[in-house]
Amino acid sequence: MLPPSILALVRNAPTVAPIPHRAVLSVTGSQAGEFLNGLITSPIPTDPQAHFFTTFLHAQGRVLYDAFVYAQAGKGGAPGFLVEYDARPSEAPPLLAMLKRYVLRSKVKLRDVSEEYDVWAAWGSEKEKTWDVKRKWDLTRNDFMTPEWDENAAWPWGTTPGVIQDRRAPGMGHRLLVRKGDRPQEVSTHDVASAEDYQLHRTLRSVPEGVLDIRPMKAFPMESNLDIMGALNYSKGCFVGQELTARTYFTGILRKRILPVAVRQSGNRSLVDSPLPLLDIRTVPNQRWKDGDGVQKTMRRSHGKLLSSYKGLGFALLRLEDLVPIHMELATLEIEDGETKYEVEYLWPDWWPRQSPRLALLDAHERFAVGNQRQD
Amino acid sequence: MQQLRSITERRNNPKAGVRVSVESGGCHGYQYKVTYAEGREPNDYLFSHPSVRPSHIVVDAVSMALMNGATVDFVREIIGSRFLIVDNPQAKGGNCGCGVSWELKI
Repeated sequence: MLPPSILALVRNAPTVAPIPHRAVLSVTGSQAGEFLNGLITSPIPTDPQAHFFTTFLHAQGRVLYDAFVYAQAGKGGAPGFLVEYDARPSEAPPLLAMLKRYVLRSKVKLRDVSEEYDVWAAWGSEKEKTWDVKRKWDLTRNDFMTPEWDENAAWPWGTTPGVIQDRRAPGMGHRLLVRKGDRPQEVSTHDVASAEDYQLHRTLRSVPEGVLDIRPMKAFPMESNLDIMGALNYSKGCFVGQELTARTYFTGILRKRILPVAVRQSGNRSLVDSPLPLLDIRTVPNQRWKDGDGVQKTMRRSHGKLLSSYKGLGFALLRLEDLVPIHMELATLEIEDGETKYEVEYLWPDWWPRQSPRLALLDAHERFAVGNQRQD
Repeated sequence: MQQLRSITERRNNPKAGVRVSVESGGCHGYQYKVTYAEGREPNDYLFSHPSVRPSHIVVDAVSMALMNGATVDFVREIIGSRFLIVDNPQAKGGNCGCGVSWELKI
């Protein structure tokens, strides 16, 4: 489904690239694990050297920060963690200030150590094949896809100090925490690429990351694919934001998801070059889609939102229902920005266990085919 | 009131009472914890009232800042009887279902 111009951007050789705008917080102390456990969506692993990926939500269940947590023992072997997250200003309260308000009497020490570390990503090497195995999925709740890790296999996110096996999607490679100013040892064996190359790499693997893709105070965790990426756990005890998350999982319906998109100016074959702001995406029926009376359908409401893009490739929050007529070539996704019109093409990740949106295509065919005069 | 008194009588300890504290965690960020207490620590606030004497309520200074003005109630319901902290001026309305976890008003 990827056009050749996009395929040309894929880097499959071993590559290492820096990840800018990341802050790192040190959380140490005898009660550090217990402290974090009440504030994040993932359980603290029993292995004190195990890293993991997680989210901080606020009390109403919306995302504040998606974060990587590296296990790092504190002084004297006390439990410790390094929380790595997007440092760019957003609507969310700064993480350190927010966490400080929760310390109370706990034996926890919080320190901003962003000045001590840089974050890099390394992918495409043979080493990853040992652990980047095909996942099993828990699909008991229709709309939600949760990866299932083999309890007898090694811990999925890794235990090597400063190195996380990025299991948010297949092919993501490693995430490396290095001393500020240093370059990771991978530079001697991998091509050194740019931060933008990392952004393209994760976009093509449909991994939204940070405050631009996952808007703090607005985004919901499942809509942001945090269930697919392994950050959500529905059987752990109370944490901030659990009520809405659990309620959605057990009784709710998922109507939207973040998907990678390719944006072209209407009529152009190549992708847009300049960055685009947060724009509304409309589903526009084409000539072939007519309602029950044979009249061509019109849809005025906006159905999606473009979140971020780089060289025409980015992420958008799209309504899943709308993807069905688009898949059936009855409608297209369009953006109108003043005088300019853009066409948006979504990319359904081929590694997601569900091959199509919640409405199975057969079922949707019946709903949308009524009154439709297709030229098959 | 009566519940507090009966706690002291059962334990036969004039210093006995109930400790109410705030901890982080829970579905909204903070949660109340009510435990049996014997005597007070330094930095504790002690509440004594003739109607509950000889027992009392103990609150540490950190928790006090977060619950100042709240009411300690004891409820008997079909699902059980327990101490409940209500009307905390520092808390945003709409607590979690069990009333244990709450969000701080900024």
